[in-house]
Amino acid sequence: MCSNDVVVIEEALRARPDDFAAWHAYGDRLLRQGDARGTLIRLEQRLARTRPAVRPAVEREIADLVAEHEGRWDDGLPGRARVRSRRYGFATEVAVEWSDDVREVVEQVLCAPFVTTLRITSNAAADEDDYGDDEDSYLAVDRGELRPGRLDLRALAGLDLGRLTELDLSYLSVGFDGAELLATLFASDRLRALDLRYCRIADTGLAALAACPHLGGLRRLHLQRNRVTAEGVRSLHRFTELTELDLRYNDLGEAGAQALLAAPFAGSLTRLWLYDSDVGRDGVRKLAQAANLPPGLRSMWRCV
Amino acid sequence: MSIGLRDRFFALSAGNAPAEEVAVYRAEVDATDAGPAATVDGLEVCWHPSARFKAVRFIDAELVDERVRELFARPSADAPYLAAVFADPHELSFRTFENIVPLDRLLQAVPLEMELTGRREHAEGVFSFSLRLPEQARDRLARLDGMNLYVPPLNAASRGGERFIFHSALLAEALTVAVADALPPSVAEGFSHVNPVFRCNGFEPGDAKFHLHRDTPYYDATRGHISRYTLLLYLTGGTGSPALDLVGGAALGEIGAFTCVIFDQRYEHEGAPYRDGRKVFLRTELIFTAGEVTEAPEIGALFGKACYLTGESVFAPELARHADAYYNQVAAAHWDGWGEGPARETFLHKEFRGVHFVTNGYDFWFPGTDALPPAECAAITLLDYFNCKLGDTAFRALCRTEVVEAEDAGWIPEFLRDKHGHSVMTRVDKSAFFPEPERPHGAICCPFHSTGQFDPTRFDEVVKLYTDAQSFAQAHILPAPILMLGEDVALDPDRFVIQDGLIHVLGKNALTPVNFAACWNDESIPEDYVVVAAKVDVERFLVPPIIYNESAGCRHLRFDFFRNSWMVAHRRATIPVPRITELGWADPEDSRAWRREVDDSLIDDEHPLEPSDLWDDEEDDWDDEDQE
Repeated sequence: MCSNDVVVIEEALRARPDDFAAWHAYGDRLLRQGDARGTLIRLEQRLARTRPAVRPAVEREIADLVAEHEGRWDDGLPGRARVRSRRYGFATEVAVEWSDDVREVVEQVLCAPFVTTLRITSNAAADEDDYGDDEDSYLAVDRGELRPGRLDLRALAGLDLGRLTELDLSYLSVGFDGAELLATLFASDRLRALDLRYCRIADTGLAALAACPHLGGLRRLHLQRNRVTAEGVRSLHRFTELTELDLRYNDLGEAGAQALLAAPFAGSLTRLWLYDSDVGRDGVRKLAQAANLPPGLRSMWRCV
Repeated sequence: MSIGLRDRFFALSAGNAPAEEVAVYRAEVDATDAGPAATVDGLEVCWHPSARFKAVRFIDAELVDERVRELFARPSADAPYLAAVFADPHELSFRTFENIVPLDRLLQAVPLEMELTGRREHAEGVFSFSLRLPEQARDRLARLDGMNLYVPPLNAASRGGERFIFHSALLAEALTVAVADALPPSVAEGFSHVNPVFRCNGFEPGDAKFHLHRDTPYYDATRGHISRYTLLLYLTGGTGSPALDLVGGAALGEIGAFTCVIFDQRYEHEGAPYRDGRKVFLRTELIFTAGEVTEAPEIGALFGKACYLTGESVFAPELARHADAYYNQVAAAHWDGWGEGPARETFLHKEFRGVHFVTNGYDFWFPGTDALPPAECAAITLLDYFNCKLGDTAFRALCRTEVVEAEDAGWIPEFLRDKHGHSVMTRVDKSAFFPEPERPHGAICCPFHSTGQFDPTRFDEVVKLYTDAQSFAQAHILPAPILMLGEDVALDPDRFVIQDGLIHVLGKNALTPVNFAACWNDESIPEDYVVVAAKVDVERFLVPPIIYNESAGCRHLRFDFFRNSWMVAHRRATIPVPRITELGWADPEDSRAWRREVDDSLIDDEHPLEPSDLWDDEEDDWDDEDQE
């Protein structure tokens, strides 16, 4: 187990991952422990400051070090976790496949010191079953009934996902009930990006997430094909910091466009993905004339 | 109603209709509102004249969308492949001011062996010949006058008669052989070919004569070609006083049919109509390899100004006179060096959406303010120079313009000082047009096997088509320096590189599309599921660097057209941006397929696209197949 001061240092580094000096100091500690990642921190920091002519030699040195040691760097992670991204050799982004013991796996992943991005993917068998869902059960989301989804997010109950800055549950059959549970899993407000595309959360699930006091710092939100309507867009108003929003393949209508333009984040958006079929001709007109959309985004609606 | 307007235009153009009838017709045209019926090379056109579409052009009918092609008149019985289209004169740009009618098809099956005989040297550099040619060729050329192709020239106020311009490589080749044999060796040295662009001029007795002028030399810097001699081929004979007067050289009072006159372009000249019949002649130039020609940049600048003022004369007819004076000065300067410039110069002060600038067609001055960066000044310069369309309106028509005459440009900095510029162009993240495709779902089959639950957004074949379509659209949109989003102009500052006093406008940098191919058992096909999300107009420019400096509080740009004119190109293209429809079944009968919206002219080696599998209604007939 880690000592308390190390935990504090690692927490600080998760919060400020670009703090050069703090990583340098952390590297010193690793070197004293004989951890090759201490050397890696030295080398990568040197690479960032070195002249182009000297870079290839440093890059070779880094490659050799990584090849020799990387296999041992994931010892603390569960075997089914796939590391998708690293910083100084430490896993920062991890993907895990949904399984009966998903809770244990995720819990273990969250013990890794620098994991801040988590992606949970469906397993192939669930995928096949899921696609066979009939339209009635799909629509059941809108009637507010508990839907017999393949994935029961209650499996994650009790976890604290509050250390994550990015969470990707795309294409999982979460359902509105799953979204409601998801909203209870955050004890702090570090999450900046949430990908819930094709998750079938509908307005009800979106409202539950919007009501979560620890999701107010979201910047990027993917909600493609979730049966969100204008009512759901009004829930989004609670995400005041949004800068990127993807609402494609939702039947928002003109009222949805209107609700979007009334959102407190409308003027701060840098990316807004929507199609004309999502908002209708009148919705397109509203977006093309919106004074409170950034000019670049507004212009894009003028050629739809 | 519109058919009547169309046909009466040609009836009134051909005959000597009473002025009252013409006036009534013009009033009807002015009272007729009509939208465009087709777009040809970026220019919207209609098949009949209207309040907006007044400038007639003759083009190859195959260039017109076949769905409306039949509406367009074919006024020339001798060249039925030519369709008459009507354009909005405000939308003409330097490429379309002149209507160069393609006439090679007219001469394809005609024997064209020609010989110039009976050479007479009237003065130094002035020769006349008699043209011998087969009867069929003679007849064909003689009928050019009666082909109903005369278009009122933009500078109609400064010259008499009527004229049309045509292109014929076949005629030029035949004349090249004849000229090469007939010219004295000293004159023939360096002779390359006869210019295939001809002007056919027609004058009736009593018409105003073609006023005293010099022919503007043709100059192709990239090929090292320059014109030195003018070639006149008289298709009719007659007597004028004089019919051709070369100042300081020779005067020809009587000219026989199929006389060819070749004269040095240094000669200022004019010509009177025949007294005894219609005078019809062709004019072109003899092109030589340029050799020792040295250029004076001032000549290029003046030529640029002349071209620009010709275009602006649509809005302010009095500018045609200034343009003419510039053309003549350019022509003189080519042979005699740079003499005295005009005493006063013509400037245009323009205001576009609150941005003020001043131009003479070569120099463009903008207020020197941080709010109006050099890249945006360059973009406005290009939009104005090429008269690009913003939405449905040409740039120049969107500008408020006033003509200012002054001794020099000294007044401009003070004039622009209090006219604070501001940005009028948006910045668009072009990649936002291309969201990543969704992750394909392996369990999805075709609509037929999906019993109402087909999700095209995650079906691998559709996703792959979408990726292809994105690659194609990206290859056109990402490199464009300027996008037209409706009436908004979106600038990509990264495509304007400012270095060492030059603004380089970067061209295209094509991306390579990804290609591939797979159970589909449904009437619809995957291509029906990739539809159009938006249509983006891209403006592409192939232009020389724009000379740039800042002085006296102004941003001063110079667009050196003439020295690089043959490298200058501008093309507007409408690029459909793809998306995958959310519909579980895309009815092929009501297809909005992206692939159908792609203009085939946009597909080339740099922008490849797989052939479409979409049904062609005209070629495929299910009923016929069923009957078989």
